[in-house]
Amino acid sequence: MGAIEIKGLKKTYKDVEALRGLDLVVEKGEVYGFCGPNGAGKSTTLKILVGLVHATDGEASIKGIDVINDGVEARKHIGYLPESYGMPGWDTPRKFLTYMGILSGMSKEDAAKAIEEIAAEINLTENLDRRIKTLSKGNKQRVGIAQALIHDPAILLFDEPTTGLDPIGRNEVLDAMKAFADKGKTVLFSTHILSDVEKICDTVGIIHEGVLMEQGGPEELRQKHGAKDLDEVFLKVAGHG
Amino acid sequence: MDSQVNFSAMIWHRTFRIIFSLRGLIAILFSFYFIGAIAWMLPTITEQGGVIAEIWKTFSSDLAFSWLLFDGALSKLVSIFIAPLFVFDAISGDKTGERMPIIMSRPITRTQYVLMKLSSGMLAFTLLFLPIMGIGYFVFSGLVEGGLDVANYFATCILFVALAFFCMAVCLLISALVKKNLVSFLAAFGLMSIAMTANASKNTSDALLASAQLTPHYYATYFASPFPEPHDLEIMPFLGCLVVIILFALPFLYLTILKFKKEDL
Repeated sequence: MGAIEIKGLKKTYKDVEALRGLDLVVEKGEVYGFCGPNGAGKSTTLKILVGLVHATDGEASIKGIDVINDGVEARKHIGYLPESYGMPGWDTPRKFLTYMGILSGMSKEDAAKAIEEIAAEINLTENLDRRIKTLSKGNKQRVGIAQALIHDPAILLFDEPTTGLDPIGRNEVLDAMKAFADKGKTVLFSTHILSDVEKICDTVGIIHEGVLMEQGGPEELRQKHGAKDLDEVFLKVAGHG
Repeated sequence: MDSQVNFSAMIWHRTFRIIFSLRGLIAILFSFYFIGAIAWMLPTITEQGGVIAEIWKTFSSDLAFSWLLFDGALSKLVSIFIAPLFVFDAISGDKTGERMPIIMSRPITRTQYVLMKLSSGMLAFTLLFLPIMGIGYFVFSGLVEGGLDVANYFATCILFVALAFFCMAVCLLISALVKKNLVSFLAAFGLMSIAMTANASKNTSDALLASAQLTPHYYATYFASPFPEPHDLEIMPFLGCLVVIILFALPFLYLTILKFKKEDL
């Protein structure tokens, strides 16, 4: 059983087919790079897994739990970082993360302990008591990652986590994701930056127009398509190469 | 991790966030302003032969304390100012502030989310409103000849808590339907102003009295207003008014949950 399993997933927004029967399996403990151009269906897939968007048809499960019919139970095991999100700027990360912990079913004491541990892990400790609105983009992204980790989920779903960050920030996020996987967490992250994928991913899935076109290890895909890098693979798979 | 959602912790946490926020402060200031204004106006309005009393008589022949306080000012305070203030952006605010993806990725249902917003708004309202009205009782009773009937006063306060429940249910629906905070703000405060108009004017015509009876405001002021006739406080009519006000609120709450459950966020 895969940590994440998706079978025949479809989503239609009015008359736009965002997903057209997506099949996907992510194994436990791996870092899975979910690639595709803008509008390919990456974010929609993650949103369905986390219960923000209703699937039109198909099945999806997290650790064997049906996310469509038992979303609350599934979300206990999911940490989600949206592509675009807001946080109350007047709050401190500590207050915000405490609230997120409580919403995740934790006691205040457990949340406080978890906040200290996560902050130490992702270099957020010295900014825990500053107002969020005063933090740099990189530090805000750290708070975003911390809220995804607060309830110690087994599966992390990160939507374009490196978009908009400078090279240092990008590397930090990539290193963090790799470190989470090393600790046994499963990481599925969407991106259209293929160099990020090559750096840390065990498996790459290329989605185009709502269908998974290709899946495999970065090296495996390069060899299969006789390409020098994943950009070239992607262009060939998407019919532009 | 195997966590169970602690619903009461969620509600208490948000309740204190409301109370210790700018809107909590505004609600407290409004409430004390209300008490101060009534305390200042009461002797002036009820002074037989006074100029203001004569002007007041063009609106109402009755200079009684109950009409002035509860039917007019308290309706405005609760249904226009405080109750909408606590929830007008409860859902639309999380959408426009892009907080929804993070909040709804937690292991809570959408129904729990809506109920958390409503419950915390109600709890914050009750914790602020009832103690301030308690202070108000001591301020007003000294100004009213023969003192105030304590049972009538607090029974009406409790009915106004129920009225706040109705107002919050309506405002939550508005907040779920609209995408912008400003629209939600204008719709919530505007609709609440309209909703109380019939009851505020019920003494002027039979038609408005009949219209008022179709609003929860009429039942919230049932024991305080002398229109159409004074009502003595009795337990069954009191419970009846309480139930009627809550029944007014439930369809709005149901529609809010229904709308929010079907929505792609």
